Amino acid sequence: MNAAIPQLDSTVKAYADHSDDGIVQLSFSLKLPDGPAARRAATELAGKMGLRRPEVVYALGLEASVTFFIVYGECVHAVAVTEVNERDTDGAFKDREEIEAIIAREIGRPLIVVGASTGTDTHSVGIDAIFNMKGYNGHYGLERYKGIEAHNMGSQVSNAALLARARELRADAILVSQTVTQQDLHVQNLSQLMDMVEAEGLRDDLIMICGGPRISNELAKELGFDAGFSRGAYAYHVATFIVGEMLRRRAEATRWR
Amino acid sequence: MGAIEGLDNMVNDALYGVLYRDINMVRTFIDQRVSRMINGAAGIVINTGEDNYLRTADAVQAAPSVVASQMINYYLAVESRVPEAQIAVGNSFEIDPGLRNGLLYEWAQAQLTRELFPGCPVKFMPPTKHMNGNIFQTHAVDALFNLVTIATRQGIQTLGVPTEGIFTPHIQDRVLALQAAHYVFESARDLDAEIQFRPGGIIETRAREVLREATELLARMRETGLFGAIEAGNFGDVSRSRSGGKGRDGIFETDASYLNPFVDIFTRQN
Repeated sequence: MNAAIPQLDSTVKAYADHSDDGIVQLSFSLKLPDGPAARRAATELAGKMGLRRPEVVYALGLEASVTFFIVYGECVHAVAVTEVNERDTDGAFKDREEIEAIIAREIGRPLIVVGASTGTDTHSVGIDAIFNMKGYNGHYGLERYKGIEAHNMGSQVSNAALLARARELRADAILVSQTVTQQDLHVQNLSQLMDMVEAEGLRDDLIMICGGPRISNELAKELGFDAGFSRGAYAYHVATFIVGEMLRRRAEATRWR
Repeated sequence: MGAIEGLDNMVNDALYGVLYRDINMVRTFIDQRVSRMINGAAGIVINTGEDNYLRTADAVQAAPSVVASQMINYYLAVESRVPEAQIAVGNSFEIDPGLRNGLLYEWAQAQLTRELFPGCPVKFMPPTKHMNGNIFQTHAVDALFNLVTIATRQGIQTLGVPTEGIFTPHIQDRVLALQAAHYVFESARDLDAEIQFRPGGIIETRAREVLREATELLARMRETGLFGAIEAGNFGDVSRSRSGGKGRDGIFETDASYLNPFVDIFTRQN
């Protein structure tokens, strides 16, 4: 088979060994004691998920009444290849030097960015990856950027404290990191922050960005943020967005003046 | 509260609150002194939080500050009358898995910690920083983490789970982690007794360098004091000022007639 680049509007199926064989692997647990009945139930469940010839290749009783399964099967579904959102392609992002140049040339003053991991979330790894001087995976953090004044408040910061700090520093952008997502805690926490920003009449003055392993740009927008970043996002992704949004807002303000 | 509930382990770090919760450093050291007295008297093993420096700073470069902090935490605990067997100094397996010979550096750090604190259990934390959602790769890295744990006889281990960095572990992640650790611990049970480190080799040299730099850091601290070292950002790349942070307004100078009967009770020599 030729490794042809998929054409727009063509369809794709999962691939493991032969083209379009549809083979997928999945694993899950069922609240059943390990045995033939449990394996049968797992196979049937996989069938309902759209897998033809599902096969339990491994089952393990985790405790008396819970069994873990590893299943392979042929997924019958195919999907159409459609254009992806421009923001999600790496070409749309600028590197640190370009961003610094745009700030110096077009914004003409330092951008003030305040960030925190909010609520009871003790994880600072996400916010640190974006802020810390050394950055992450070889991509410097915002603290390294000329023209960006980066204030990382760390973790377990209350929404009120974050907002107070943003007001005090006259911040241009707020970055919120959420790692813990049990019982949708992150959604409640992020919504509360947006409510507070709105209530204080600060929405137009702030670029609001959230990030975390379970946060998508779509979810962020749904919650009223300007953007959301997830796994694989580095400081330059976030900085590109901030600078772009800053210039967009500025252009809009001039247009209506 | 932990003592009343009969807990075995509690996180008790002299620097963590200062660096990561921005609690005033004077306040933290006072609170830590008292909480350690209670934990020491109640038989609770305290776990210090050096693993956090390795997560926020670069794990290879931050190694000497980890050793320096382990020593500081150790002596502050001894001063609060915590028995050695109840002092679990912290360490973690956070070197970038892409680094050539990274396993050797981890081994050096773990062995160094073991040898510096022979009477203490060591708290060994799993790789998290570089775990990126590839559950299969994370499981592989965790296997090496388990190998170093057993080969250097770390006393307390938090197991790594394949889904590290994705969500709170699901039931199967916990069992898979236990199963993998059991496999490695059984399979390499007495490896430590079989190993000698080649003098001048990578592991021995690394341990020697880390210890030398830690010693230098502590020597510099003799001049700046611990507060000065924290202000200079020596730990976890985080800098805090001695007049800043939360809880400062709760600090009072003790009067000449100040009496705290609990300190006497908790620090009474057995």
